[in-house]
Amino acid sequence: MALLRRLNSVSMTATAIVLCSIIAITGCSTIALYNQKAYELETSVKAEALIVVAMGTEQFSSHVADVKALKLDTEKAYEYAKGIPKNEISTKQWEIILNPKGGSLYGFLTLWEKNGKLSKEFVAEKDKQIGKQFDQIIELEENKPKTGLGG
Amino acid sequence: MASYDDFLKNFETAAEALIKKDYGDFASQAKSDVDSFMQGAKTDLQNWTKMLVQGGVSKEEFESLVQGDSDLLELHMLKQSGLAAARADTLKNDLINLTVSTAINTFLP
Repeated sequence: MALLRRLNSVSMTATAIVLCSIIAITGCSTIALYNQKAYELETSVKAEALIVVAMGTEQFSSHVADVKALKLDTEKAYEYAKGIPKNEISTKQWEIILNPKGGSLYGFLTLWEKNGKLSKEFVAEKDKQIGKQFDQIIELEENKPKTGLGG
Repeated sequence: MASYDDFLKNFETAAEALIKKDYGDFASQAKSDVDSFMQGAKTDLQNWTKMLVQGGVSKEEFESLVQGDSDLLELHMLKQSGLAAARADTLKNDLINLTVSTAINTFLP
């Protein structure tokens, strides 16, 4: 009788362990964890981008160095995001910002360079729009899980 | 000695509460977020059209603004998809912790 009770207890524990293992095995994370450095890069590039975009009413040729510095920082942030495992969604978001033919930051810089300078109304609207675009990247980062599976 | 049925009963009750906590109003929040985004895009378009007609922005600039909102929508949808994945990961993590703690509390009180 005691042996039977002991076997029953072992069997229940084994079942629980199997159940945990099944959840753990099928429970691989699908998205990168929150990354403090990525968050800092995103917020600092946003601030820098908005300062440079606001210069769009002035001659592009006077701001070549500002644009070059901004592009370098933006590409550093993109490369950092790209290097984080399971960070495909954030990487795709950066690719939209970096598309020179798109309607985001690099598209704005291309248009500015091509036209020399841009209208005051356009620059004001674009500044708000690019700010909102960066917010989508930042808000996703802020809401990523803070601890890994089982943590 | 607790039975396997006790374990399942304890686990089910706690898992139900957990799913409500992790997922709860996520779907309705996401829908309201998209609705509010679309409303903002509609207002933007009305303002930019006015600016174009009044000569405040050039045709090329107007196109860039419209394309910018399309990019913003894509960024927004990517964010929503990332948030859903993050919720799913949180739920999985919580379920693992719950399974372990329920097993320990049931079988090794």
